[in-house]
Order: sequence, then C-alpha cells, then structure tokens
Amino acid sequence: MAAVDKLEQGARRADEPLKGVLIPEHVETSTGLDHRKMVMWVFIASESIFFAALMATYLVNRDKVSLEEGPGHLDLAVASFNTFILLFSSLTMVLALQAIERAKKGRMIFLLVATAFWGLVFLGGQAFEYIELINNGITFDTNVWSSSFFALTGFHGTHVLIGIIWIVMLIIRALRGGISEHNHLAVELGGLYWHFVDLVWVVLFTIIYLI
Amino acid sequence: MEHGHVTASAHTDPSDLVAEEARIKKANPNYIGVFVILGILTAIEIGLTTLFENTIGRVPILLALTVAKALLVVLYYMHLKFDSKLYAGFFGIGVFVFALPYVLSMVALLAPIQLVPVREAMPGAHGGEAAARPTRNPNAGPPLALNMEAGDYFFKPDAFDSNSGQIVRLTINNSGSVEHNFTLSGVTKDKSAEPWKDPNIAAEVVAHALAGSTGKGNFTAPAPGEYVFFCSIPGHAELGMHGTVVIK
Ligand SMILES: [Cu+2]
Repeated sequence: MAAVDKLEQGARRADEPLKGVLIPEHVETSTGLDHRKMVMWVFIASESIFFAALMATYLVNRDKVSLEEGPGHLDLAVASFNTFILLFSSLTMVLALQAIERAKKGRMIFLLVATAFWGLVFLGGQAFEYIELINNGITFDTNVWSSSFFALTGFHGTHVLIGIIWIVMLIIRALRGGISEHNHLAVELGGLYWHFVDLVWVVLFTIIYLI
Repeated sequence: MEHGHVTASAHTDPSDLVAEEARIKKANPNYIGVFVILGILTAIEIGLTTLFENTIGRVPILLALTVAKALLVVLYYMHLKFDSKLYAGFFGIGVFVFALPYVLSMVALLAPIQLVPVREAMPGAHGGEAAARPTRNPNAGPPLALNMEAGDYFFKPDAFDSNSGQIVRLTINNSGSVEHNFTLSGVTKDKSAEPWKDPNIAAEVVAHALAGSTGKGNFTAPAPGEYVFFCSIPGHAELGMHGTVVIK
C-alpha cells in the first residue's frame, strides 16, 4: 500500500502548477492498465469470497430455529427502505464520478456528501433493526440463526461504515484541491468499493428477507 | 508511452487517459434509468414476498431478479461493461470459481432450500418422504378459503371437509401467546392418529403465525381419506392442538 500512497501523493503534487512537477496519473504497466484499479478489482474478488462464506453459513443455519427465536422479528419494511436507500446512494456515487469526469467539482462534492449521508441513513436503519431484535431478547449468542445473522449483517454494516469514511476522505481531498477532471482515479476506486457494498446488500436482502 | 510533450500551461494528458475519458463519455450510460430499473425489480421482489409467501416457484424468480440487479450494478455502476475485460476476469474468477460454487455446495450439502413452503424445517417439523401427490379430480371444485383460529392450545374449527385435488387457502389467526402453525399429516388417520409422535411421518407446515398475528398458506387436498392436522411446535399437539380434515 505504501507504493500506492506515494503514487497518490505524486498525483496530488501534479495538481500544483507552480512546482512544475508532472507525474501522470496513469503510469506505464505491462498490461496497459492502472495497477491501482487492478488491485481494487482483485480486492473486490477476495471480498466476494469472504461474504460468500458468511452467506453460506447463514443459509445453512437460517431454518434451524423457530420464527419466535429470531427470523420472525425481522422487519421487511425497514429492510426494503434500506435497500432503496443503498441503491440510491450508488446512483449518487456514480453521478459524482460522472461529475468530476465532466470537470464539475462542486457537483461532485455535493453528490459525495449525499452518498455519505444515505450511507449513514442505511446504518441508522440497521441499528433500528438490531435494537428491535435485542428488545426481543435476540443477541449474537442466542442461537445459530442470530450468530449467523449478526455476523453477516454486522460485517456488511462495517463495510458501509468504511465506505462512508472513505467518501469523507475523498471530500476532504477534493476540498484541498487533490481531485480534478484529470486526476480522479481515487473517486473511481472509492466508487467501486461503494458499489460492491451495495451489491452485497442486494444479495443479502434476498437471502435474509425474501426467500 | 512517454509524456514528453509537457508544456507550462497543460496538465499531464497521457493518451490512454484521454482515450479512457473518451470511451466513458461515448458509453455514457443512463445511470438514472439503471436506478429506476433496480427500483422496479426491488418492488417486484417485495411484492412477490408479501403477496405470494408460500407459492411454488417464488424462490427461483426471486433469485433470478437478484442476479439481474447484481448484473446491473456490476455492468453499469461499476463500469465492467465498458472497462477492460481483465477486471471482469478477476471479479468473475472470484465470484464464479470460488464464491458461488462454495455457497451452492454448502447449501446443497447441508441445507437444501425447500421451494415450498417457507421455513418448513422448524423444530418439530417432520422430515421423511413427501406427502402423497393428490390425484387429479375433476370434481375438486374451486379453491376453498378457510379461516381458522389457532390459540393456546386449540384450533377452531378443529374439523373441516375438502375435495381431493382442491386448493385450500388457509389463514390462521393466532389468538394465543406463543407461535403456532398448521401442519398437515402426509398419511391418513388410520395409518397414524398422532403423527406428531412419529418423526418418520411426512408432514407439511402449511402456515405459521407468531403470537397475535396472522399466517397464510396454501395446500392441495391429498387423496381421499381422513387426515390429521396439528401444530408441530413441540408439546402443542399433545396439549390438544390438532384436528381432522375429511377429504372426499
Ligand atoms: Cu402451537
């Protein structure tokens, strides 16, 4: 990661015209593709395997308890609301990238703020659901269903939180002038992560609340 | 590629960066349109789940809708449709070689998903072979809508009639203080009068309801005979939560 950071700093310096140091954002590689984006996709592939393990655990254990012991207390309305929220946040994220590609930096910052905001709303919905379960006496170690449920949604929620922090860092960097229409790979990488977290929720929503 | 043509006024513009920007602008996906489709697919999913809870074929449709949504996110929001195939390759290997086969094999080995009804495998639910398939009966008649109260620990009514092959649309209103369900024995009463005592007898959980709530479920009346229905939650049937259905 240190090498990547150095490159990022180099790219940031390239944005300060007075210093006259110009380091292209895209360095030459054997594949002709940017290594940072490549690493991001490899990371996303490994993350999908991580979530697959948690999902398999949930699917195997979900029918092992009665409704009263857990799944009956899930709230489809809250989960549906959260699904729309996260899908919408993916839209604002991708529009933020489009905005900076078209050199509209202010618009990008506004859309990034919106994305982080909807992410927080999602976490609020999840907290609401957790409180509902805990009020019904269902916690992490109640039974196999509750352990699988809290592990799966908890890790997903953590990813949402990391995504929000990532977006906030992008906003700070943009305000400091570190992101421009020629130097926005960071926004694209943050976007890939955010959409992946949305993608995981699309699957979780089905396997937890629908089938 | 070199970046020799650096001038004082221009930012760095390697040709591949220009090409990438041109490509994305050319593709110019309708992101709002993608969001609208994602929303509609989600609404269909929620509708299927709330309106057709115990319907055969619901699960495969839901899984297909989920795959469609996932593809929309990956292809458009994550740009895989327009980006290098190498990225798609990494992601594809992760998902199709590792993640998906792992989930499918774990589920197939340890918990085959039952298409109908939902959450059949509760404690006390009976495994064993599936109930006898109802024979086609031209006199089955239109579907029978049946309302039943499930309390602590009784069914009201505790007897009803139906025709073989007739679809029974059952609604149970749980007036009790704990969860109850309606489970139909897969064998006639003369073969087992107390099917809850024998885990080898096939039985189908048709509907279940939490305390104070309502549950719905459908079943097709089996071959003619007298069948026992009961609540499969341990102890409830012994306390009197059972009844009979006479199928003609
Ligand atoms: Cu009962």
